Amino acid sequence: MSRPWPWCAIALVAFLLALTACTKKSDTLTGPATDPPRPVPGKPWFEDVSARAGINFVHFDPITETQYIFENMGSGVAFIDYDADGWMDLFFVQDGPVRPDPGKPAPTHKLFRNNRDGTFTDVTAQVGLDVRGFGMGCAVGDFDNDGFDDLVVTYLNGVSLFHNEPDGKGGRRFVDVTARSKIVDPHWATSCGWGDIDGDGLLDLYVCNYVELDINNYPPCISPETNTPYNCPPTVFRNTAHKLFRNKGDGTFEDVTEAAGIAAPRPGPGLAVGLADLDGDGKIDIYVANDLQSAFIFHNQGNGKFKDLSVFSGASMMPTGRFMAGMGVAIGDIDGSGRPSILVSNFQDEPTMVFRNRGKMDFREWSHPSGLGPATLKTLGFGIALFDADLDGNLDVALANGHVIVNDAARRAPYRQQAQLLLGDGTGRFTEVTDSAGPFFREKVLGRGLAVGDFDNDGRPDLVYGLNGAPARLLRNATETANHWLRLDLIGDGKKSNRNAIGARVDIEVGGRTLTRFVTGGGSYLSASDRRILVGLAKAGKADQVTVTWPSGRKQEFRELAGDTGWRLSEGSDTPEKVR
Amino acid sequence: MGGGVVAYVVSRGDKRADALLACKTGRFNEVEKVLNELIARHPDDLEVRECLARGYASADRPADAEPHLTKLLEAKPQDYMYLRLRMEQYGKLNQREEEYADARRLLELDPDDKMRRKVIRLAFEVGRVDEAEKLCRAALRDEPKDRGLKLMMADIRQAQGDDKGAAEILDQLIRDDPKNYGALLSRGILYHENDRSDLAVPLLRRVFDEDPTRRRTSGTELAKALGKLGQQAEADRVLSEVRRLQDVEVFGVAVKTQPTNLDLNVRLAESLLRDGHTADGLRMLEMVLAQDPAHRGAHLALAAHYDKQGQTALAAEHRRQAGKSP
Repeated sequence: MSRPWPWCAIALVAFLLALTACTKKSDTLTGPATDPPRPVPGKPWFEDVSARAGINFVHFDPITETQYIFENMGSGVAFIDYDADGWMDLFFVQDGPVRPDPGKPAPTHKLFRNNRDGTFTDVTAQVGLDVRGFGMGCAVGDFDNDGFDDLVVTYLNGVSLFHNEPDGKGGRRFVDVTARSKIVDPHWATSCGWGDIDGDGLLDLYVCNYVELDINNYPPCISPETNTPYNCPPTVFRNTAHKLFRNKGDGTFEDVTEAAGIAAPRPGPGLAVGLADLDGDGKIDIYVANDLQSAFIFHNQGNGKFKDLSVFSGASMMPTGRFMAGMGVAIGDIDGSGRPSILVSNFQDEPTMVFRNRGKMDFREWSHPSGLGPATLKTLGFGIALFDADLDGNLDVALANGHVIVNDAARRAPYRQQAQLLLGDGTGRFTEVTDSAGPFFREKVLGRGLAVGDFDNDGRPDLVYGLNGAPARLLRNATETANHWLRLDLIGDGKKSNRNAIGARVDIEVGGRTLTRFVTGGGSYLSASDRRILVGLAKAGKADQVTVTWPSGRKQEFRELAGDTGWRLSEGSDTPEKVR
Repeated sequence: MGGGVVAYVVSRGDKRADALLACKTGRFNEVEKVLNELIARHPDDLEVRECLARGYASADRPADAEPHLTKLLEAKPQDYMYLRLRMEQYGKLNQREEEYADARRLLELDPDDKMRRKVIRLAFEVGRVDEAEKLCRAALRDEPKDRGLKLMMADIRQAQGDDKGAAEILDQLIRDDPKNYGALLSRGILYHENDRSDLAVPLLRRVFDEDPTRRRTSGTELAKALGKLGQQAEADRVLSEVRRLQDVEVFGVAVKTQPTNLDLNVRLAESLLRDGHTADGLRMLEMVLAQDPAHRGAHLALAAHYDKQGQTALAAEHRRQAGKSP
């Protein structure tokens, strides 16, 4: 027979429960690591709007027991204004099963059209991009200067070029013109990028190749530490030269890999490429991050010829003479020097490298003093982007992180990792603000692709992350700030300059400072960012003067451009056009 | 029932005592399972936990040792030995922030000079440069002639953008000891970065020639400085040695993951031959052929090498053997 509890015992239990509840609440409120982050005025703040915006792309997870090296290398993401309406659309590259089952259709790439109200519509099939394959990277560029951006997608076994054409119904569609274009690269292609290498006003294409592999004769790798199967390092495989295709202007391309000097250095496992005029000589140079091999710094010698400056540039490896595991590349003026410096994301326990540009193709290793090196030792970086998150006029850094070894318990390197955000101070130094930048930045994810773009045209640069085997994430920049901004859409003349103005330099004089920005090709990892220049003006309501140095070499000055406005600057036209 | 409880207690007691004895006498691997069973049942048994922590630490399993040390420190937050052991585990795990935090606490518990140096280095590594400077200055007040601290201060100055301050320290160190290779290397790099490659080269060359532990780093920097001076042939010669060191390291890791993949050794050999390390490259190919006399890749690599040397008969023979390979 059970005895009823005395009232005093019930009261005691109730008191203890209440005390526990209070204690729990108190713990949650006090611990900085568990505090739900909240926006702080003036500080960068990103909100995940993927669901609200209708971005429902899910990257396929092809993971197998063999752990093929390509299974968790992710796929790229791109901001592309495919219908040229002034609103950024979003493209996602899809991979697929290692061995596709003919009975089960694999998922396709996805293109989402911007509805101009913060939402997107899936138009993949409508535009002809419902294409399958083990996709890796992408690049956006108007290779025929017709005013509409075309698309390159790289695969485990090659490259596809999609031409943006009228669909006959008032819309646009993408037509696979790879065969017609004569672009052939039957290798594992990764990142790629556009740039006019020979100054003929046409965009040429650089394609990174990673390693050569045959999945039917795949050599399984064993972890020396745990004696269990794990992801092979790239050094296990042979490499092949990367590819450079020269645009002939008639819809076809010529493979100039050998002639241009791209095949001269020892082949390396390429993962990222950035195209920019690194020494201000008016010719576009090519920086390539290789995985456990010296980076390539192809200095443009003129007439489409390149020389790899390699170690002599100071930007090809780590200071100890060790190779970087170069994953992603970002190029921009981080220190107010007016010169483009180079950032390269790196492996776990290795710093993201910062190569500060000293002019004349001479770089100083600056990872540790920049603060970026120490902050990134704890992560394995892939996508990397320079952008002005808080519109203060200084470039900041976003990183996509995640390991490649599924279970590296012995070294306690987490497979899923937090993305990172670091604020620049304009002198080449950065401070990490990851934990306070929004809920996404506290999540552990398998970050790979990363692109920057202003999808809602509010002047605040937004971010899109491509996660391996998981839904993509669109992060709206919701930073509470009174800082002003300027968005510049540069249109080259399509004759001496490519229409995309890749290779242009822009000097913005604002509030006694000169901010220098570059229109670059490639960048990040497998991804393509909004090409428009998004400039933070801090407290200034206008730019006093904007000087554009076009790829053709022509210089144009535009005075008194009002802030909080998008401007279209067309080469040869003295009148800036207000766009939004 | 009472007898059962007694039997269990006795049995547990024996088991525990035996396991602890085995653990303390260097036979941790024999009793690891038992110790884990004991701690699962009695999480507050600090003696068993300490045995596990020490056992894993000795077995070089830092990821397994650390959680036990963290639990021990929850019970005894001021325990110097536990803290020190955990700091070492964090170090092995490359968890530098955590290693730094433990080192900082250890320094507070016992202001020991060795620990102070460690804290300075770790503060610098995790990017707390100003804190590293403060600690380093304090340490130099106590030991103004200490070379290690001065070298650290030079690194700190350089990270702060004070190249001139760094140079003054390094010059003094080199005057005091012309064989201070750390200082010579740092000064050489600083000269090169400040557009005085002419002054950098002699310093870097000394390190490259005389200090094998810094050969790759000094070689990389020396090649850069020589290149800047237009001495390209010499720069390439130095760089070929750097590449050999890089290849050995990178392929060494790959070989460990695929010990039976002879193709990796062939690739390393090809790389060595390409960079002019003929003897090393040929030795490696001979090693491959000793294991697999019909290895097609090794024969082709030898054929290519002898072709380049103009030894056409030897090249033809290896090509013939490669053709016979399955």
